[in-house]
Amino acid sequence: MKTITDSLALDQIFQDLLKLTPGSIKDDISMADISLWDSLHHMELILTIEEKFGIELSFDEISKMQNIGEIRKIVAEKTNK
Amino acid sequence: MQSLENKICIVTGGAGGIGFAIANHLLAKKAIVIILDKDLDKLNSLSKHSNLYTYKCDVTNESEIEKTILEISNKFEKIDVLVNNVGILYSAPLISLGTSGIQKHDSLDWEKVIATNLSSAFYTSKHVVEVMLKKRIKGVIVNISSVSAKGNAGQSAYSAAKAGLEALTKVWSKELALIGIRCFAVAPGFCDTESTRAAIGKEMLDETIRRVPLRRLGKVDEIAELTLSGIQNDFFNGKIIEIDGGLVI
Repeated sequence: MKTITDSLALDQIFQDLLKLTPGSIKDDISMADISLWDSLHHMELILTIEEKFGIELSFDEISKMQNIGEIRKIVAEKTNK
Repeated sequence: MQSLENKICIVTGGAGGIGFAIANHLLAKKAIVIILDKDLDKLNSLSKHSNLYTYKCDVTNESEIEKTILEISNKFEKIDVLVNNVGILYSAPLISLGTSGIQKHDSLDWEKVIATNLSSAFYTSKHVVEVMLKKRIKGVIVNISSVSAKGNAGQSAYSAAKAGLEALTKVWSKELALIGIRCFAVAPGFCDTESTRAAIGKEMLDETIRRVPLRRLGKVDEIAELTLSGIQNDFFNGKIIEIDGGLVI
């Protein structure tokens, strides 16, 4: 991620869509840990991230985004290009 | 979706009646309209328009739909609007007592009506929504229901199919809103179409008209106008709009 602002923006998306509190956003939190994070909300999460950061994620990348850490890593890679 | 110009719009069963009226209204708004119909003669008889494309497709056959939607998405690169209009009007009581004794609703007729009016919308929508998601299109799904969804005596299959279609409308409006796709339904009352006249005898039709407060059948253009206003309104989602001259109040 280019800036701290980008990182905060991503955290804000996790808070808004997955109802996580700021202190509970950890890299190892996965879909299995949060009942709200089902396949439907996963699509919403992905599209929201794409729109916010002006990126397009491939289905290969989306399938890897199963936890917060992977999402951070892939978004950072895409935004640093 | 305020402007429909160059939007790719699919209308199933669009070669006649309400579907064709919707197609024409979309064309008038400069949309690119793709009509799916299994009746090749009807498709061939449609007047030519530079923005009108037709595909012969039986929407009760999922593999045929899948192939057709793939062809369409390859050619047009996206799909913005799907109007699930295809349907057959069918009337038969569950059981009746005639001169030849007790007659029961034919189960093959039941399956045909459910396949045409309900399963077709399910099959077509899932393949179209896949394209919308892949292309990141915030599209619209419109289901053409009927006031019969409330339960018309003598229409077990048709009423059940349309009620099912309205249930799908509510489910999809909640599910698909998460990815920016809207879904709503239009439920017309009795309209002045060939299929209405063919399915209902003159006596029953006259009786129906007497029950409509406005004392007439609906016009297909009236249904099409309402459908387009729902498509163009970005805050309209999940609702069933009844347009029946006040028949169901």
